[in-house]
Amino acid sequence: MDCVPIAYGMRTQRVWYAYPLRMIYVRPISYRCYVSTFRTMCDTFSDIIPVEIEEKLKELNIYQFLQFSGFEQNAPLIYQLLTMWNIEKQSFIIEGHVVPFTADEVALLTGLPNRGEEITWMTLPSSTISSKDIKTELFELTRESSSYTMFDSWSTLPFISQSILKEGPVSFDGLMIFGMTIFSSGNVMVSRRMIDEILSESYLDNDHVDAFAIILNEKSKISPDEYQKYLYISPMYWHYKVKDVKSVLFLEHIDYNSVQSSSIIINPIIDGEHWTLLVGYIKQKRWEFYDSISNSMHRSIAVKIIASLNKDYKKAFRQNITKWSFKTMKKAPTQTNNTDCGMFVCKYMENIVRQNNSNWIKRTDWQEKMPKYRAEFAYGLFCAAMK
Amino acid sequence: MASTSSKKNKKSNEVTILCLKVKSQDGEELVYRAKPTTKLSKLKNDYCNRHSLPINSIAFLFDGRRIHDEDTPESLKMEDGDEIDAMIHQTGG
Repeated sequence: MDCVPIAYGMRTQRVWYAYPLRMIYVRPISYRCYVSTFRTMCDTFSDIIPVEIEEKLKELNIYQFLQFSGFEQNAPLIYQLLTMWNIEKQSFIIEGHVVPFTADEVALLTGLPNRGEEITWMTLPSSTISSKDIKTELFELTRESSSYTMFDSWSTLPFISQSILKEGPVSFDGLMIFGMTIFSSGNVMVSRRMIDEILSESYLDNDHVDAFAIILNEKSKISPDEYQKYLYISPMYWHYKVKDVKSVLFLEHIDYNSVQSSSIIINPIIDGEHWTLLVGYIKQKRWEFYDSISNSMHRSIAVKIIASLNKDYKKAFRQNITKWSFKTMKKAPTQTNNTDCGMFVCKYMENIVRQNNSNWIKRTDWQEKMPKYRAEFAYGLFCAAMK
Repeated sequence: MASTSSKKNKKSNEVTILCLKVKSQDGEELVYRAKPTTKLSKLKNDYCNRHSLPINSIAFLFDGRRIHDEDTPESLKMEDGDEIDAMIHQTGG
């Protein structure tokens, strides 16, 4: 199939292909980038996982994913194949012939080893491995290797092992159903589909960012010395406000005492499909605005939010917070692609509330480490879900 | 006889149907008739289908609180004519 992509939609991810005779619009295949990101993710995992854990992982069926060799993707070809798929027969219909699709073909296409026991509906893992087994196994993994915690990136781990320790009904059954809710707390719900969004290069939505804040909060509870006291205001505060829905829920934790005992207020902002972060330093009476794509247009919304907070929470602050100095942080790490700003905002939040972590702002490697950060986030969510 | 009549009474009580208004962000309203024991996730799925949105891309809010999949009008103490707000997820990149 000779065709060259002639135009990429910057934000819509639509691709036009020019064929010799006509123009064909190729519908965006939503899984198109999943494979490549998945591979990046696996490579990252295999880099940071210590050897002894790798040895243990070899006993699990998913080990081969850690060594996912590269292969090219051909979107029009995949799309053509998809149109030939017959769901009832579980096979491709090519020019009237039924071509069943077996594990061997998958092995050929993906370059994955085709070994081990076949998994069918009859031999689903749930019948052989109970959720408890997985739980103990994961716990063994985290406990046995102390080197694990040495990785700065695996800062989620103390939290994870503690959450696994807590006995409770754990069920992995049905975790693979797409719309299934994996993690839920208050107004925040994370479904299976949203985990996929984290692991691919997709946009993050408000539930992702709220969920990140919840995990951050759990981490700061477990090791209070490493984190500064902060108040979190959900990005949905502003949206509920604009749409005239009750927004008290997001602010009920803010009163005079909590403001006095905290030093930082963090409020992620979503406006016009772009994430930014508003940070207030209570003692210094200063607002800071973080934007991973520097553009002075983005910050107009922050001023409106400050004014609205001032109106709603006069009693809690007992001062005019609109009078605080306002500064856009120009030196913070910035993104070079079109999709990562949600994750950048999450990482800003994490670094701002960490103690003794002043030089993060000079780091320039955030963009290349984004797949890793996304993987850590998804991992943290899964572990929180097991609680 | 007494037992059957009490059964009947019970049944007539159960059949009360609530009208629930689902209000979207642009002010459009959709009225659903639901039994107190109907799971609200059913409404949500239907709402998503009608608006050709992926399931779970919308959050239903009652009184500013998120409605979870297993919630029913009964468990949330909803009354006839109550409003549910449908919020589309805010995504950004």
